[in-house]
Amino acid sequence: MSEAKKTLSKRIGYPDYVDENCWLATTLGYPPAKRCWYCELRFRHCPFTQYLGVSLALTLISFLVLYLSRNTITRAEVFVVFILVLSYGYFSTRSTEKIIEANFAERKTRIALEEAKASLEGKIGQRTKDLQAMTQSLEEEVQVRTRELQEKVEELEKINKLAVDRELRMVELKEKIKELEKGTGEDK
Amino acid sequence: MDPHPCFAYNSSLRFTRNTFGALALLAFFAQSQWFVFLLGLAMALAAVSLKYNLPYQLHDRFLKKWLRVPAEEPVAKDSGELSFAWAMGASFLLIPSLLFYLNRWPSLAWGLVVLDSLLLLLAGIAGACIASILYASLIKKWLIKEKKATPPENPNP
Repeated sequence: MSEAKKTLSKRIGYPDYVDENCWLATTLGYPPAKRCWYCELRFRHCPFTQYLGVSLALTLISFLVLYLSRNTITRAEVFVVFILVLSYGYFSTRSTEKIIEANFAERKTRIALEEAKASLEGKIGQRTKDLQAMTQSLEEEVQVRTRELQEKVEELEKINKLAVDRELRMVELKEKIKELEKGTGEDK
Repeated sequence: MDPHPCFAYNSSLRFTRNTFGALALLAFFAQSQWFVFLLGLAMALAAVSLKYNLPYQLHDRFLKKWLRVPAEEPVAKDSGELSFAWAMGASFLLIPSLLFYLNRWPSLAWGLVVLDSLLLLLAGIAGACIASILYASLIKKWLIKEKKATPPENPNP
């Protein structure tokens, strides 16, 4: 039964929507009127059915009272009762249907906004994760490059030290050669 | 018996109910027994098919453009429900016609005409039809019960 109910009801606000709470809609298999496209009420809570029942009852009671009191109902009385019941019904039905459609439009807008908000939050969360991942990978790259640079610097310092030591040693040796040459010249 | 779907315009259906209701009321005010009979015949014809529903066809083909009714999609309806509703309305006019012919209980007959007019106009205004409610509660429930009571044929005997 629940499977049948699931297949019956489609999206609310569309002609193929069937209110699962309303026995009339579920029995017929389609919404009885256009306003039923937007309805989730039970049949006994439907304002239009209530208007129908109350109007019918009041009209019949008033005709019955008139007939019992005077054994006749004039055409004028029929006309007056009809005008009262139907004009009240016409205006209240029209305004109620407009309210139902406006409520549904507002609800649809609210749902669309919430969906847009949820999708934006999702996108923002995803972008934040992507940025965090990118930041982490960049930091690792920076650390690797720093280490490489440090190694290169140490190597260069070693070479520089060797070169400087070599130069100093050469200067020492030159001075020694000069001293030796001086010593050899004096002997002669 | 499976329901036979048909497509109908809500605005045209409403127009039809209001028209028949107003004409029935007019027949009462005019105290015209012939008009009641002709109206009953027209409603009986409407019960056969939407194609023979004169006010519906008039509204759908001509009046919609003239009255500048906003465009709408036809909605799926059970043709059984529509036929039942019009048949019920027709009976509320043809039975009084018979009573007029037999010259019996004219007050009851006019009462039925007034009741028919009231039900049609209420259905046209509220969009809630007593006949549809009766159809759903009696006929459809009976059909569903019958379907459940009759077990499906065994394909592998």
